[in-house]
Amino acid sequence: MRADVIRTYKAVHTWTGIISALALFVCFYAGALTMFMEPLTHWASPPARQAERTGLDAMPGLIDLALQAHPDAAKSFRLEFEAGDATSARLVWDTRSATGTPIQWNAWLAPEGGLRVRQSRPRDLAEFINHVHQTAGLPLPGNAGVTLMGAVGVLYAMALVSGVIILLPTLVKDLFVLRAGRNLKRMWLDMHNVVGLFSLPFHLIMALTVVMLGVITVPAFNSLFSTAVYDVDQRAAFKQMNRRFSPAPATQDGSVPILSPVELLEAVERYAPTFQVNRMLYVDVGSRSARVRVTGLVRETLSWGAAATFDATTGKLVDGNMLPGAQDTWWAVLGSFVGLHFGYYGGEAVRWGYFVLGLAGAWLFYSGNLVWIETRRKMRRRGGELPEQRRDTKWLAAGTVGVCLGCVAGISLTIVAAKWLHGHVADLNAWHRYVYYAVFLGAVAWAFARGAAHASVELLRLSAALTLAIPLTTLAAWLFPSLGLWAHTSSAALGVDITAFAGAVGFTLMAHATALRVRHGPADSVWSMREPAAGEKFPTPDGQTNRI
Amino acid sequence: MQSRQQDWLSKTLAGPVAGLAIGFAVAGLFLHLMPGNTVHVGRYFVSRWVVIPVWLSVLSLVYLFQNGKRAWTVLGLAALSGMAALLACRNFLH
Repeated sequence: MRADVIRTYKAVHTWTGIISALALFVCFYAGALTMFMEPLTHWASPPARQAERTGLDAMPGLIDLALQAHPDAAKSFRLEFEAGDATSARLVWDTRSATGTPIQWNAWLAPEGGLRVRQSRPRDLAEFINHVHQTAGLPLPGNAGVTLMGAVGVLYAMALVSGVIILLPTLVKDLFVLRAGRNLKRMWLDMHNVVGLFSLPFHLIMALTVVMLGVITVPAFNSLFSTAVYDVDQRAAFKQMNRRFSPAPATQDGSVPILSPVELLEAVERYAPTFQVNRMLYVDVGSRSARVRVTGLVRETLSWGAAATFDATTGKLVDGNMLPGAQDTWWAVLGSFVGLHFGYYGGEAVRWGYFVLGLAGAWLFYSGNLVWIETRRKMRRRGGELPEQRRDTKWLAAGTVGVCLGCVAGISLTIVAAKWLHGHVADLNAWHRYVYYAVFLGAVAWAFARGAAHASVELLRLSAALTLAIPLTTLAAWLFPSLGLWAHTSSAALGVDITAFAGAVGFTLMAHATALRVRHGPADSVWSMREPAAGEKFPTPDGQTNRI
Repeated sequence: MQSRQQDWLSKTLAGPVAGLAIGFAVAGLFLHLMPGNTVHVGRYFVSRWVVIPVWLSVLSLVYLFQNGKRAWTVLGLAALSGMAALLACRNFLH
């Protein structure tokens, strides 16, 4: 490989990496957590909510009662299931207030019989973490965050290709070598290379899928593509075919009975026996064109989530394109591409594998920034004065510490808030956002105000404390029932507590190691809190240059 | 051999722009040349996926070109001939 090619691609790698690293860190850290969305949802939902669920056997009666009392709901209502439990669900529909704000309603059967209806408060902790994952936490309207992450994905792909190109000439020599010696920049670079190369297939999948998921949110891309590949007639025919809900002729044919949820789920299971239902969306109930769209997962299949639309009056499959077992080859191929992004396909082992690869990816981007800073470090000459570090390296160090640890600490506290704020605030979803952004922005401001060296230790300690608050909240719920908290004893909820505890231990160890470095490590670095007195000279032992 | 020129701006534009056209052409040819019905929703979506790896490969590897002018010439010709082939498929294949 020619030297000028390597030089060019080093520049490409540096620039694409620096621009995309922080956004990617947030996406990967939050993305690792989304692998365990259902346990998190379960951990965060109060037991009182269990009482508002209705067994599927009693559901047809409940639907009848609810639609008699609230006929408007027949246009659209839904059953929401808790993951792993297909025996009971919440009956929910939306209305709009006079001012146009959406209101959610929840209906259930009281134990003594009779309909109960209450305005319900959506609780979407998992949905919020997923939003942070998809948009790097940028509060942009509509799909703009996803579109932007598609653009970041392009830089990410360039960083992967350029990273491999610059590693190629020395691949054999460098790959299995971890030079954990005095030259710490070399060690960070070796680790960055080895983690990057061994998780390259995972990263290539993520780069391809994130760009795809980003570009399809751009209407211009879609219309350009269809104009390029189809002529006018083909486009018209395609449009006709691509209708998801077939248009419902609004027939006034009175009350046509619908099948029970149990019968509809049996119809799904005939195609996909391991289907795990999340939601059933009913439209136009009472008319002949009543439809139900069942969405969920088929865990052991390479797909990105399964869905099927049925005729709710007959149970006939209307749209099975996204239902493994009913779909054709093209849809199966499509599902397997996208499914690689989501990692539902291989049971618990793959799930934990994606979790670990996600965290390793976050570390990869973090370490890339560290290598950038270290490369631009100004070192003290032997016996010379302590040099002032470049301003850009100070800023990048502070930004890296603030953004990465702000994301970690913010997510931990917003998880904790699901329990502590329950019953105290009207709109918990809004508070999940407030809490996250307050911690995140506070951490970034703190990092710039204090400098990277101080802030790295302090924010790591904050991350450790807020992550430890997750299992401590569960413990407090056990010890002090009067607090009004709750503690689920299922293995899923305890898994959240145990994982959070392990995370807190990890952050504590990192804080300890970082504290040693900023206090006692070489002072000629952005990672040192030692500031020399004017004119003070430090003797430097040989070979001690270039250390973090 | 002449030394390679950086031509950052020229190459950085050639990669994404010409690369997208090449991606569309490759995806369109895939859509028309695979057996089966051309107008099919799943097939269309799979073809749309084909754009991405082609596009990303071109825009990442464009810096291998000797200079910006050569990048535009080669990629532009590739895009034009790809589009011509796609148009031919659209008009004469059915």
